[in-house]
Amino acid sequence: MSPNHHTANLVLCASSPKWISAISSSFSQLPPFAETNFCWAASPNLIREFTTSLANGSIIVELTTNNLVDACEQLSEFQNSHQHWRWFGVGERFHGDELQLTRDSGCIATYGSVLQLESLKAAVTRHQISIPRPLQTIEERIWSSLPWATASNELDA
Amino acid sequence: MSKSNAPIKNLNRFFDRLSVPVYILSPESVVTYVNPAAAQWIGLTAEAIIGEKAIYTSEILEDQTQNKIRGICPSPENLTTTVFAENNGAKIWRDATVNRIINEDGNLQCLLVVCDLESSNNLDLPSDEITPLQIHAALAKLRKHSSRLHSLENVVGTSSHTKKVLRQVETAIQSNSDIVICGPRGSGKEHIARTIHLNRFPLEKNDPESQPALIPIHCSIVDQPLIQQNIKEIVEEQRSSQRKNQRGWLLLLDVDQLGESAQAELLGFFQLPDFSLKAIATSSVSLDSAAKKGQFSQELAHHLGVLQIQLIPLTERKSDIPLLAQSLLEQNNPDREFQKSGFSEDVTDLLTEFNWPENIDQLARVIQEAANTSTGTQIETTDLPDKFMHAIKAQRIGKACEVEIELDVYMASIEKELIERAFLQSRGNKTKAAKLLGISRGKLLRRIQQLELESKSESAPVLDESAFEELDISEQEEQ
Repeated sequence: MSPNHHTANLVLCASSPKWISAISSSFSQLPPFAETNFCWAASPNLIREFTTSLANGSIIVELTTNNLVDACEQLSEFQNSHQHWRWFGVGERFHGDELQLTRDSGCIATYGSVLQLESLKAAVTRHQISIPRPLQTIEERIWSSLPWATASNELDA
Repeated sequence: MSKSNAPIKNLNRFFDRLSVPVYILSPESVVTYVNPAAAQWIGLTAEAIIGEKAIYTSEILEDQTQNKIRGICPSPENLTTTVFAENNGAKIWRDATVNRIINEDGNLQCLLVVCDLESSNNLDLPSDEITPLQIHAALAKLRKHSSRLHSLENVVGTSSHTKKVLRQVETAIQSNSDIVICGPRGSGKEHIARTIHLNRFPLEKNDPESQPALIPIHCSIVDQPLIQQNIKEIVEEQRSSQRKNQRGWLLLLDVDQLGESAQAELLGFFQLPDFSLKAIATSSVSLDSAAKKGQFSQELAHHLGVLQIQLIPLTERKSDIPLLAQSLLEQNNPDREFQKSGFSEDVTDLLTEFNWPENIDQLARVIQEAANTSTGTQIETTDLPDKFMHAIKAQRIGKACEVEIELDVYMASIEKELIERAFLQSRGNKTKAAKLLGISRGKLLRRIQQLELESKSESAPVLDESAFEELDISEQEEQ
């Protein structure tokens, strides 16, 4: 299956109008994907609400001096149980321990200006494309995609 | 105020008395009115503000007044928004309602912005800025958690391969060389890389400064400009750092995915004359063989591959699965309300039988899902996810096909399965089952006979003729 058939999942967690409107308009459709599932979360605590049924995707978080620690903690914990989700930062650019905190918690890169949105878009797209499709045998594909569920989960002897 | 705003001029007296900030912007975002509360919030006089253009940007503007009022420009699309005033260097945010005033011709005359009385507290208020100590504590907490997760004890297994990997990991911990860890997807390459780093440089007294940072670079995501920006930043940071002996290490994840120009960029950083950049890399293919095929830079492969650790697929070390599964289950016990003790014998057999094409990552996912479903202390077969049960069923069928494929028999098995499912779905009603299958009732009956489904009627009551006869009668009555 080519990337054209995939759906790109994107969660934006930002509070300032600049980033909300710039990212909403720029990321509503990621070119190589047939569909883009775009959600907005008010805070990093709420990200799980949007990602429970989705196996993979990208999270863009607006980082400020005040939400940095909380966002990094939340996202680091989130990534432990969500292997195919990656997160990117926008907003303030940090240095020293603050920058290291973002790196340790799995942030791919932080973008300080809306002028860098194309670069962010390219990175998000590359991540979505690099997500490995589940490896399935031909038999597995046939049996798991047959219509109408079986009566039980039991295996044939 | 301009003449175009005359219809609302009479309201100004009313707005002037309000304690909530109110202001009016022209369609071009020029401020045409501010009430005293807004002027106070912004920190300028009304005269200084009126006539200035509020530019929708977060960039710092050269014009002092424009810079101060840039935050009051609402988001162009939204009618409820948040705006800020930058007063004495601090941003004071407020929720605001934007009213679009339309004139008789249907054109936008102005924007009337009414802010909330209280400043918004869900945005970055400068009053509770984070201190360096808090950053330090958060970093220490993350490192401590990572050290626990990547301890040597978590590399479990009894197979000869795992024992060999453990010996290699111990050698790597003692050395200071660059390392490349190769192995198929999901085989735990990143885990081994982090285990080596965290055991090379153990966290002392919970102090993150005692441990050189491990800086992950996701090579499948970064391109040449991004890798240049990231590593340049790292090099500059470490050059200016006081702790010269605590230089961070790069963790190059999926380095084989790095584009050609990004490889050249990375190699350039490794060849800096006055700076020694250290790295642990993971790759799904051997870098040497990729270099021989011209798919990877030979020089970079030589540079990274001083020490090499090769991981093999989980299916080639099945004797490790019971111990590994138990370890994965127990790892998550501290976060569970009810602890899980282990797996029933049947589950262990199934986990060991399966081939795990996505290796440890897939095993971890199945265990996690099963543990979430399970209500008892032990994981039972019924707790295993449907997807896994389908996969193992498919694997069993696949095994038979590996030896010899008889297309008719294979297709018949799928047809039988579909017919049985259609009968279950239609509760034994042949007409409905035929409709679901998109064939006539007569054809369905012939296929049942040809596929000898009736002979299975005892074991599959769904196709029990006597049970269906009653349904047939009712069908005929309906007709």
